[in-house]
Amino acid sequence: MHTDDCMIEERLRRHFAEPVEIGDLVDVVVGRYRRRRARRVVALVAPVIVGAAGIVALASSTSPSQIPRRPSVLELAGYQFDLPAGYRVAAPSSSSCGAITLGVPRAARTSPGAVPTVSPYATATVSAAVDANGGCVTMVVTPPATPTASTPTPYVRNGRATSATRVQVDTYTGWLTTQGALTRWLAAQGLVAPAPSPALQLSVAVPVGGGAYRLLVVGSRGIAQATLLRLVARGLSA
Amino acid sequence: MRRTPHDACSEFARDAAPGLVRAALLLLGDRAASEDATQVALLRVFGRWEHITSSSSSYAASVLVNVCRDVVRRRARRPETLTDPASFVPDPVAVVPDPSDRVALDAALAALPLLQREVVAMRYLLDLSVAETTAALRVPEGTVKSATSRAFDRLRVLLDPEEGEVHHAH
Repeated sequence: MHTDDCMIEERLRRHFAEPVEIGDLVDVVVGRYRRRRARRVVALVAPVIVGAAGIVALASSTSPSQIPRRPSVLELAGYQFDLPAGYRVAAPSSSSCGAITLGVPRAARTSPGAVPTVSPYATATVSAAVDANGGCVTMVVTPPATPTASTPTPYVRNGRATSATRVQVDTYTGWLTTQGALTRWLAAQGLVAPAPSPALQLSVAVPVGGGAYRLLVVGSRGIAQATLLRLVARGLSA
Repeated sequence: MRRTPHDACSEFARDAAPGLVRAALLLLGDRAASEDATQVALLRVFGRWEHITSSSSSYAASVLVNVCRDVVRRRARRPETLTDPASFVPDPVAVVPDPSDRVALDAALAALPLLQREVVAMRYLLDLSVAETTAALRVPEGTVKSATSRAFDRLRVLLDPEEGEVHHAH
C-alpha cells in the first residue's frame, strides 16, 4: 500500500476522531475555577475590610483632641442645646456657675399675712455646663403654667426691668439682662474684686397653648451675647 | 436567558476538553498527566476568557502546548519512576475498528520528536490552520511546515517500513 501524505493525514484524522472518555474532567475544572475565583475575591476584599477595620480602630484609639467630635448637648425638658466648643455638662452648683442667679420666682407674691404659695416655676430643675476657662451656661425650663397676677412670669418682670434689652430668639421674644450691676459698681469703687466677666441672663417665655407658658431662663458667663442667643435659638427651634 | 461568560467557558470546555486531552496524551504519552495538563490549561483559559482576542480554540491549544512543554521539561530534569504496573495498561478508551492499526499509529506517533508531535496535534487533532499552529507553538510558519513534512516522512517509515525504505531510496 502506498502511504502518501493524504493517506497518512486521513489516517491521523480518523485516529484522532475516535471518542475519548474524559469523565467529569470538565466539571472538576469548573469546580476548581469557581473555588479559585471565590478565593481571589476573598483575597481582594479581605484587605479592604481589614484596612477599613484598621482605620476605624486607629480612629477610635486617636486622642479626642484629634477627632472632630459632636458638640456636647445640654438636654432640658425635651429641648437640646448644642453647647459651645469646650463646654461639658456639669452640676449647677459647680464653682463656675455659683455666682449666676437665675431669675425664677420661687414664691408667688401674696398679700400681706397670707400663706405664700409656691410658684409653679420653682419646680423646674436646673441644668448647667461649664468649660475649663470658668465659663458657665446654666438654664431652666419651667413646666407649663398660666401666668396670673400673683405669679407673673419673669418675662413680664424682665420686661419691666429697666436694664432689660428686648431680643429676638428664634420666633420668640426674649429679655436680656446683665447681672451684677451692684458688683460692678462696688468693683469700680475698689471695694470688691471685679468679676471675671459679667453674667448674662436671658428669659424667654415659650407659649404652649391655652395661655400657658414654659419659661426658659438662661444664665451665662464667659460666652458672647451673640453666641448665647444663637445657642438658645437653635435649641428652641429644633 | 442571557448567557454569562461563565456559561460560555463551561460550554467551550465541554466541546474542547476531549480534543485537548487527546492532544496532551499525544504530547505526554500518559493519560493521567494529559488530564492534569488539560485541567491546568482550561483553568488558565477560564482565567483569561474575557481577554482572549484570538479564537478560543487556538488560545487553548497554545496554553496546552505550554503546559505540556513544562511537564516535559520537568520530566527531563527529574525522570519519573513508574512503580505502578497499572500505569502501563493501555487506556480503555473506545471501541476501535482495528485495534492493531490504532496501536501501530500510537506507537508511531510516540516515536516522533516533541515538535513534530505538537505540529501533528495542532494541525490534525485540533484542526488548527498553519497560521494558528504557528501562533500556538510560537514558531515560524516554515518550521511548522517542515515539522509537518518530517513528521509525515517519519510516520510513513514507521507505519510501512518497506514503503519508507523505497521512498527514501528514491
